[in-house]
Amino acid sequence: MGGLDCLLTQSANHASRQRSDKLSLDIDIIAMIATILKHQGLPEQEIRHSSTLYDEGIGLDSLCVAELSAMLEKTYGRDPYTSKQLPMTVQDIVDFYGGG
Amino acid sequence: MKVVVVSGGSRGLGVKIVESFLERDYRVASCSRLRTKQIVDWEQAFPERFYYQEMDLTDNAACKRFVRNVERTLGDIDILVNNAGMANSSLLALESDESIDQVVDLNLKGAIILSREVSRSMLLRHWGRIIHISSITGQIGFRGLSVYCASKAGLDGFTRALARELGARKITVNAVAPGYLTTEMTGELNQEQILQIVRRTPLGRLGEPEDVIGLIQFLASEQADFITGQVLVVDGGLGC
Ligand SMILES: NC(=O)c1ccc[n+]([C@@H]2O[C@H](COP(=O)([O-])OP(=O)(O)OC[C@H]3O[C@@H](n4cnc5c(N)ncnc54)[C@H](OP(=O)(O)O)[C@@H]3O)[C@@H](O)[C@H]2O)c1
Repeated sequence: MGGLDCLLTQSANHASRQRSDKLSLDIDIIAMIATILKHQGLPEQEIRHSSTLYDEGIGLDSLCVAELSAMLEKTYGRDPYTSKQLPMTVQDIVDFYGGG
Repeated sequence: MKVVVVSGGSRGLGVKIVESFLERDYRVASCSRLRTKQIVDWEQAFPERFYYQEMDLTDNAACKRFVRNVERTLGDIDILVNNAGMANSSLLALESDESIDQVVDLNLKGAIILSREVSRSMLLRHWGRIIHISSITGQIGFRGLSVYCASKAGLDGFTRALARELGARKITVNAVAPGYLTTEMTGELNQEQILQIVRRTPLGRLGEPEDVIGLIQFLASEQADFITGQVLVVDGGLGC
């Protein structure tokens, strides 16, 4: 493979890896929220990127948020809540880790 | 086997608390500013299940690093005993800013920061025990120890509030409030003061660290599942 072809292939691989990393980040975060809801005995619900995390959205209460914050920190080494941010939606959390 | 953190395990009551958990096969972590011979002995005797770090608990960042190191070395923390504490004996009117900061930063803020760090992983496992070593003086006061008494009364309030926060995740938070114990901390008391305390104590003596251990072990056990938010006094009746 010539130099340019090789570069294009590398860049395509990189882009696809980024897409799959982003997808796995989204899936992992949604799975964490689902786990917390399950532990609380709350009914299963569809969790979308645009879902609001609290109140009439997914309905996480303050203790669930503390749990989510600890779970995110344990998995990724940092989390939005202890970094003085208040994510409102699932997408805000994904964005915090640069997955937007 | 469960993992327990005992702050200030290098001397006094802390030594007896660490010892009692090691005897029961727990994995134990401790910290203090100076590594004593006792600590070196444990490091040699229990290399797999004793972890120690030299650190100052008034340094928030160091507290956070300590908790992460314990988790990496021994595993997630099940039980925290906030034991480290200090008392500077002085009338408040004569007490320096530094002395007030030292006592509040260690006895109250240090315990709060360690509890925060440890409670985060307890929340994920839906189980935990937090036990503060308070003091009867937080309830009855003592001349010349107003800052110390304030810090211990603060710890009692913290115990009740945190118990309410964490109860839904089966994490209990209690405090043990000893009377006067025969440790270095009471070494400053003169013979007259000691006799006065003994006279006022229905059981007629100062406490030994061993007098408190049974209660700490009970609170750490599954038997104490339904006890939280309490300050339990072990003082031979001094405060009754
Ligand atoms: N003795 C009593 O009569 C009595 C009565 C009621 C309650 N209490 C409470 O029981 C607990 C233990 O008291 P004790 O009599 O065993 O005291 P102690 O003999 O003076 O031991 C205190 C422990 O805390 C550590 N420590 C002190 N400052 C520290 C700091 N800044 N950072 C990290 N570690 C620190 C000490 O090690 P380093 O100095 O090397 O740091 C030592 O391991 C305290 O909370 C005390 O208030 C004691």
